[in-house]
Amino acid sequence: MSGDEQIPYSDVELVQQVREGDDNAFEQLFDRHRMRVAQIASRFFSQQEQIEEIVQESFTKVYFALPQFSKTKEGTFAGWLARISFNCCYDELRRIKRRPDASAINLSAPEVDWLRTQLREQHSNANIEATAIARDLAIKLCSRLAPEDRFVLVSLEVEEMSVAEIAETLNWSRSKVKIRAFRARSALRRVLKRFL
Amino acid sequence: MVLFNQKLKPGLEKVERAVIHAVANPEPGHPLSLSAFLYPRIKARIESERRRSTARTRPEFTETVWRYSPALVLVTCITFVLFWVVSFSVGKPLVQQNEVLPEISRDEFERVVVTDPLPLSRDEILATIMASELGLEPQ
Repeated sequence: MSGDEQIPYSDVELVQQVREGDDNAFEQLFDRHRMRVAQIASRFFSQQEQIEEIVQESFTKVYFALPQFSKTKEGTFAGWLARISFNCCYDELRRIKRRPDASAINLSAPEVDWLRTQLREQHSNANIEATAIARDLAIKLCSRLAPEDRFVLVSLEVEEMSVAEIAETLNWSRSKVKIRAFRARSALRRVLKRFL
Repeated sequence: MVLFNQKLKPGLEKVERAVIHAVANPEPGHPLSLSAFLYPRIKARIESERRRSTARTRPEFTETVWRYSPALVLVTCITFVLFWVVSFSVGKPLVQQNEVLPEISRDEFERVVVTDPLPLSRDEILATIMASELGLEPQ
């Protein structure tokens, strides 16, 4: 056993060191939290470049916002970083806003099969091929949603964020989040009904 | 039709949830990985942002001066011209008023002389009164 093992610094201590001009501390923060940011980005984007762009954007924003970070006001560093990352994703979704006409959607036979299987089966059997089909299909379907709708749905269903958390992240009212979620679900169901 | 929709609704909810989960989860067999050069890229981006913000603040002053200097020059010119016009016209009213003075009544005359904003010397006032009394042309 080596006695000179260093106790890792807490996030708040590292933030303090970055504020004092220690760039290595920022690298440690990056190493500690990059996968979480990448995971958040992967909720909204499928391509590696887009995910890395979000990670870059988030950490750049965090670096310049560090002087304003206050543990008492923002909560944990991880939570604060996650909020910034969600905001970056939201901005990027709005930037690349693509909403082709819903009538132009073309699903392949395996994709329609997957949808029907989901409807029939109680528990979906997730083999690799089926999951890949599902992902392609889901990307096609969700590209029909407005960026705001997609953001709200993914945050609610996958990230399991509360309405209050989403409202705080996007600077919206709670009722706006609820209305958006309702509209997004209705829009998605309208598209799904065409194929079921 | 309504019955069909009611039967379909819970199924749709399930499919909808499955779709959202599918879009939000990384591809199977491709665990989330990030480039090894990501941190250097972030550092480079931070540096360029910093440089850009420094460069942005410096020309701001120059730009402000450049933008407002024509207006400043114009205001200065107008002020100068006004000052010049006023300073040139200072001597003239004396003569004009002196020409008018004899034609007004005595009380009026006194009032005009005393309350005149132009600084008249005692001699000038006396000369004006004498001129009006003797019916002479004011000097």
